[in-house]
Amino acid sequence: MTRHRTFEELGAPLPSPEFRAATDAIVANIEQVIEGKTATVRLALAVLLAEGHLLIEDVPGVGKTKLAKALAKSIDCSVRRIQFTPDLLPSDVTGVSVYNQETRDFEFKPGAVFANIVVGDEINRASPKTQSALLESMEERQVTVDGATYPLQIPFMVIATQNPIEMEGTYPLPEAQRDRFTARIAMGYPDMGAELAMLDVHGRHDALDDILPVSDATAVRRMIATVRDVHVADAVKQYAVNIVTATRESGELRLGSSPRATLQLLRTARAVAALEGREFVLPDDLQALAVPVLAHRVIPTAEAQLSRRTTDAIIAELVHRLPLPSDRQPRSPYDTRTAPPRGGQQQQFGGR
Amino acid sequence: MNQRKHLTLIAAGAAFLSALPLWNVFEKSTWAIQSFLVVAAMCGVALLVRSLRAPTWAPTAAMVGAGLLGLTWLNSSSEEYLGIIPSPGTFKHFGSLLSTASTEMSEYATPVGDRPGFLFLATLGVAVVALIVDLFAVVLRRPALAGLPMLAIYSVPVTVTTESTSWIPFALGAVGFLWLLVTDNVDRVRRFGRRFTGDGRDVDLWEPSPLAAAGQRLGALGILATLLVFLPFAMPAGVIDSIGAGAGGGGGGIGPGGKNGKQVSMFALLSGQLNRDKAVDMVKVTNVSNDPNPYYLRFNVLEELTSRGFNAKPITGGKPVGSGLPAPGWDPSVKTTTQKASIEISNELAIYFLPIYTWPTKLEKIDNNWSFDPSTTVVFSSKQTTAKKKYTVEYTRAEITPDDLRKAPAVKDTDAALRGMMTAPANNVVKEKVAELTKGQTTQYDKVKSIYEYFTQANGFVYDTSTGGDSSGTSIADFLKNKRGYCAQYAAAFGWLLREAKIPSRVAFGFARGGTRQGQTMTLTNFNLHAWTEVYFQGYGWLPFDATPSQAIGGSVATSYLPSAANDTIDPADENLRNRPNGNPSSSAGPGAVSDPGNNPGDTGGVGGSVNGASLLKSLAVAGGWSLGGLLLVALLLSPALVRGRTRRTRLQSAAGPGPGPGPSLDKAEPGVMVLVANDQAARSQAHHAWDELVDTMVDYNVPTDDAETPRATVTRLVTKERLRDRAEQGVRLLSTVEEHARYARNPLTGGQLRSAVDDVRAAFAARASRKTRVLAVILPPSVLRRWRASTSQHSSAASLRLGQGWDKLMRAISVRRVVARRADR
Repeated sequence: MTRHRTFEELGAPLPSPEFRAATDAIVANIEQVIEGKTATVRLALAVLLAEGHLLIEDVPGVGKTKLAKALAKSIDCSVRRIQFTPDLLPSDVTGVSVYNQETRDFEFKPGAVFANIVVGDEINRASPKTQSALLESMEERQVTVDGATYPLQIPFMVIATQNPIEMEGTYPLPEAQRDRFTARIAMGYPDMGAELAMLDVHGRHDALDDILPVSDATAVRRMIATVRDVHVADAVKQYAVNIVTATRESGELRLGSSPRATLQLLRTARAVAALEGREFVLPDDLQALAVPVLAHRVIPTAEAQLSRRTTDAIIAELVHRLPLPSDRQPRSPYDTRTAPPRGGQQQQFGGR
Repeated sequence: MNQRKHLTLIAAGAAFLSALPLWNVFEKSTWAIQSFLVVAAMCGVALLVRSLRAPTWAPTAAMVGAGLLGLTWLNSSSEEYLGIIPSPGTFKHFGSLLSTASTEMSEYATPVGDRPGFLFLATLGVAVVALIVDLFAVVLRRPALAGLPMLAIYSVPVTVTTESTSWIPFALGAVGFLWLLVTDNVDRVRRFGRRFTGDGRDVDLWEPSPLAAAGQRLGALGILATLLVFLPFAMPAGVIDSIGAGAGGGGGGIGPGGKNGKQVSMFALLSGQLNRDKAVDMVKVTNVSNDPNPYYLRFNVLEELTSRGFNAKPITGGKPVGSGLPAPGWDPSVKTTTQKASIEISNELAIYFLPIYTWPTKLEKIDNNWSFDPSTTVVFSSKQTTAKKKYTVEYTRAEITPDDLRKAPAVKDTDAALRGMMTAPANNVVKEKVAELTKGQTTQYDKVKSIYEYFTQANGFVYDTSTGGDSSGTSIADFLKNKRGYCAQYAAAFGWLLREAKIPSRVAFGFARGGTRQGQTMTLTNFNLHAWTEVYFQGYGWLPFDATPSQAIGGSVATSYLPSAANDTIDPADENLRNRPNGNPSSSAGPGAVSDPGNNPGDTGGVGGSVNGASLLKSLAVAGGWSLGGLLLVALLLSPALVRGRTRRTRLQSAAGPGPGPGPSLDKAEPGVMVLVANDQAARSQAHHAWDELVDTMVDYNVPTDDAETPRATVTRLVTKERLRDRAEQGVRLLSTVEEHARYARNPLTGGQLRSAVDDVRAAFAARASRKTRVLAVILPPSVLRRWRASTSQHSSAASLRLGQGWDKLMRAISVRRVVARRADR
């Protein structure tokens, strides 16, 4: 119901040339701050257009916060920033009802989450109690405080950063929280040329101050509508399901991807396709997105951890080995899995 | 010990085991010891060389050397250097041993003694088999192929031995082959890592994996089915016969089945002996009482007629010869004389039946190991052979006239034994022929005579020993049609026809007269072996009738009751004919044409002409058959290429679409430029066909393909790794773009020159590929082969899966454990 209402609020989809111009402008704008990271920037933008949330995870000092802020600043919309600290409280995030002397009633003071783009810095420094405050807002795009539910605006995006290296005094994100982030990206070190150029630009003043918004919330909403309109063939949907199923069946993963992951994988793929100027999703998009979208949700087995296999590597290998679905190809003779039941012979209740 | 060395040991063991059936050929086991030594030497050397990490050819070469040294040591010719290094003289010695062996092979019956030629041949054979098995199993790692040489040596005893043989060496040989296969397979599996069970438990090296349970069940089922189907044939005939004899309840059975097995191959024995290329003295007969006209020396008789021909009936009666022989039951009116002959048998005739004259009354100088069966008048033994026996026989000779036989009463069919010899298996050719011949004949004698006279040269019958020893129903019919055969076929055919006419008859084996004669002593050779028919007349018993043309064989004898049959003088020319090496009198033109030119010139000419025409037709048919077979073979070899060509044509035709649309040219192969067609299914299938053709072309030219690769990634790889350039690059990009749209986009693209794109890519692949790849891509396209293989494996695995499920269901249904103790649910 909610989804339906918001869809109408989005406005008409942008025609292809305008969409391209708009997205290119945003990317170019961000690249004034982040040098030589086009792919990362585009992915971040894709997550925005896929109505998802972004988790930027990397070592300190590679520009995580810069990216988040640059993205937020490029779009003329409400931006709030939360610095997650151990003493941060859930009410700081969601908002709190305060007693108003004048009206003699409780009045809701919206928290930091009531914005189009919320930048959560160092998210793993807050206690799990505080981290959990984001759960409802990120998935359901609403906040419930004292029994009253307040909807959030569109677009709504949480860009969180965290540092995977330093573990003291941090609280790793719970699985439920990680699952709500559409994609986790790593910044990576810039290459030498980019680093040199960065010295020139950032040497005197902060480039972040220079950039101006090149788009606004209305345009982003129309872009989101465009992305939603991208065609996904049945074979691609099947491929997405196959990839997610493969993570659930992999021997190296203790926990596979959730159905939400399938949805977000396909949504992000739509956004990536649209960013590349295509009107349809390719399996290539899914292949490229599998690691950023799926790797942070899965949990490797103890053996895989012991053999130093990162989830990134496991997912990449899965995708590399998984055959493309094609209705023109018969089932592989080496496929020993039981065939899907034909007709209504399905089990009515799942067993344990 | 590494796997290769382990396998070396097992290959040698398996090769030796596969040679074990030779035990049935040799009397002693010297051959086994010699072969074992040679194989052990070869194996040891191979082990040594393999542990030195020598190049791959070295162990084989070393094995050849070791085998040669071993053979030289065992068969030394005293010309070797240092007593063991082979010299040219050694090889000459080997050659002479081989030629001795080949001549001896036709002379000695199995089991043979330790003759140096045979020993050398056996050892050499085993060594060669061991070498080839090692080559296949260890060097090439194809142990299944190693079964071929093993099978070759395995089958030697089967072809050589005429007796039924022990099955244990055969079973050991088979076990050897299985051992080799299992070892190789286990080794193969181990190379992957650990073998595992379904429960996640490790498996011991020799423990079968539970995952193989389905295969084991299938194998067991297969063996069971094979046994059920083939067991009746595989059992030695003697076993069945003696079982039958036991059931018949006769007291004095002839004994071990192996001895009776000798009877079964009577025809083969006869044909084999007649076709030997040199005469061997077998029997010396001295006519003591000066019988002017002795009949044939006889040793065995075949009484049972099935559709497969005449067979020996197991002899159930018989008394030791010491207790005297019963007198033949002649009619009192028959005039008889008593004669005596002394018989000496050479080492060459070793059978379990004593050659005697018909109607014996007394046997002397022969011990009680020999029994006399009155119904067949055969003297047999279950313990001794006739080799080097010397004895005398007294026998009666009756003067019976044709009129006597005409007056003989009809055969009483109350006698069950006789009644059995009065019926023949159904055979239309025989039936018509008998009805035609016996038409209007009333007495039994006249019927016999009429059928007898049918087998004359006047009717076109030609004596020919080259036709083999078969006497089954079809070959009897063939004989009646072709009219070419030797004595056994005359005798069997005559007997068959008589039985069809309800006249009791049987086939007797023995020696015709002839050979060299010194005074009253006659020497009979293998070329004098003969078969004839015996006919039962009420009151006279079994009387011999020899249907074989008397002109065709030397030493033919006429009987008093059949005076018109032949001259009873022995023609020296005939004897020469009979006695010359390779006693095949009809090898040039057939005796009918040679010896009887004046009597029936027209008839003979007719036969000759028809033979010529028939041979022309036959050669035409043979040529036609060969060329047809050749065509079939060529078609079979070319079928993958033809299939590939057809697939390509249909795909390219459909990829080109209904007509050459006004598409953009290749250099503007930009997706946006091409025309978008609204959900056109035809456009999609065009793209799919072009893409499938591209993938198959990649497979054909050994360019790797990957199921997990998208069209886009494939193109990237082709351009970067396979370095497609210019037109080929444009073509492959076009194909991928079109296929991508066809697969994933709302609307497919159309108008691209897909056909020429595919051709460009194909040309680029061909230019880059090696010559071998190019030729294979045309003649045996891997894409077709791969598809066939996949479909075969798919179907077979589906079948085995179904079978396994059925088996599981069955086992679950009949499981006792389920009833006794229910297992915890899993």
